[in-house]
Amino acid sequence: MEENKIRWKYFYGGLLLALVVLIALFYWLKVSYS
Amino acid sequence: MSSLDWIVLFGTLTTIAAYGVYKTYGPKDFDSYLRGKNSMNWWTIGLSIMATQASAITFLSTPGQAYEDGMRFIQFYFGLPLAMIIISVAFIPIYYKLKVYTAYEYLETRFDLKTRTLAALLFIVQRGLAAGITIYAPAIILSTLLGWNLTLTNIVIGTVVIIYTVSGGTEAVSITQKQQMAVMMGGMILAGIIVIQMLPISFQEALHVAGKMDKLNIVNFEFDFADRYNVWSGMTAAVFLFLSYFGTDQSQVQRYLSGQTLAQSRMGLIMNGFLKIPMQFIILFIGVMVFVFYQFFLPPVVFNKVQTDNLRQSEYAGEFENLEKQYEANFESSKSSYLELLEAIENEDEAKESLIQNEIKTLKSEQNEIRKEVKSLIVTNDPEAETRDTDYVFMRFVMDNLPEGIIGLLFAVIFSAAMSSTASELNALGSTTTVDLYKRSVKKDATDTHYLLSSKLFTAFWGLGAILFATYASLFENLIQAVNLLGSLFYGTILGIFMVGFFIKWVKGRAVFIAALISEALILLIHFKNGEGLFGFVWEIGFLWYNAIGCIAVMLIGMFIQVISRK
Repeated sequence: MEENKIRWKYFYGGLLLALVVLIALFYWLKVSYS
Repeated sequence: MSSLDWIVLFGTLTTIAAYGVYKTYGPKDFDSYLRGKNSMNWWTIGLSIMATQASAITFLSTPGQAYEDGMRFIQFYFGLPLAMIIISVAFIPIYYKLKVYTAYEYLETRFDLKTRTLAALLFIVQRGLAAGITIYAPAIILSTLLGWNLTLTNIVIGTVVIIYTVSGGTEAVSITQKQQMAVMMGGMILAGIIVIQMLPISFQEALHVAGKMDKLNIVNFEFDFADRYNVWSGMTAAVFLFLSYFGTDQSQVQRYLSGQTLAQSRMGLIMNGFLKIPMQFIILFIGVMVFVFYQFFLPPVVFNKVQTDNLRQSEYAGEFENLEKQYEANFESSKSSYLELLEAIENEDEAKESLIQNEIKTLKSEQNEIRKEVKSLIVTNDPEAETRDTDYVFMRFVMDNLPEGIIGLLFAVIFSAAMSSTASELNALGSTTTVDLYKRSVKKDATDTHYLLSSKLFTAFWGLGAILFATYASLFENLIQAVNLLGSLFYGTILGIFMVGFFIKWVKGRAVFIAALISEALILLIHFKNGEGLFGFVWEIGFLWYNAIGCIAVMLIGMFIQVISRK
């Protein structure tokens, strides 16, 4: 794995996006079943 | 437990430990012992990081916490992905550039020897105590469940870990953690599937039951300083804790310093960022499903069986029997209310839904009153008895309801978790004591073989120390909080030193050293006078915030001292 070939910003962006999606899913779960 | 369970339990544990010793056996030098020959790929690093953080407490306490309090604990982990990104961008490249063995080595390059030694000592004190708790906390529960002697359980966990950690060093720790993590996740997912299948209602209905009883309280957007489980605390205060733990705690830093390249280490951390919250969700969700299960099958009045058995043998047996009858009657009413509730939900009769929901909540508070009375009977019978039973909920459920073989596997999960986190701790304590104290300040120019031997001896020393500490520790009120609190008292200061190092280049060693001492005194003052206050000024701060306060205090005081000393 070559350091300079990896576009880290996509990994970091993906990670943050996953976090937001998870929080949204959790919120949906809470609201749908309360 | 059946013989099949014992075979599964011991088979799993000995195979993993033996594999770790076998794979890493043979001549080593000091460098490969500490950095695992720099042979780890990203997913081994990722699993190793996750296994280090997942202690037995995670698997014992977390489902019980969800059973009682719902899933809100998960919000604590929302800051973890953010911390992973910051460490990947700012911390790891510097560690790699300087080719350090321990995180604290960096501090001498950037500041001076005394700052490095201070950080290393703070780590050793805090992690040395935590290693004892990491063994003790599960041992007390496991010994009760299995009917083992507590000291024997401590010795079993500690000795196995010492054998492979001392023998194979960092490489053995990482290799075994890969297998342990597979056992942990495999075991938990299997337990989750089984509990859902055992429910007498559909999965959809189970979610309704959990939701109506406020167990799916996963996100809370209301900020509150006193309540640490909300999205904002998770995104702010917890980030400081995770930055300190993953970025400066040698038990984690050593995991990713063993990577083949910087990219592999970064990728390992990112993997942890992606998987940690889902993993924690699964564990908490299992706890919630166990809760749903016990709404339809009679749960024990108190989950610690030893205590209820003792009560049955005592003069209070009659009183206990009466309370048990009340408890059963309460359970039957609550069960039929649940069935009515599900019917109301199906018919979309909202008025009836909320009526029954309130009825169940009243029954639940009556149930809690009965539980309280039983617990006070337990204490009257034995004043020494610990009546908190949250940590027993999950394994009691496993022992009473899961099939043969799976029970052994679930015990293997708990033991693996205890061993994997203890191994990283001992490995890091051995390395820090050798590299930052012994090699740097005591015996500076010995041979490579001498330092290799010292590393092994220090690792064994800390392992034996942890067993000894575990044997004499007394029960803390809440296991998770005890370990976290211990970290929180020192973590903020250590993180502050590193943050100054990475981001405020004009602040020098002397200023940061004094700032660290003042900040640590401040944190201890805040903690020990929390709720009481000083000179009429009263404060109430949750321990999660100590990390942020400590870190920011070191940065601000450090800058202030540097500015003053220039004039």
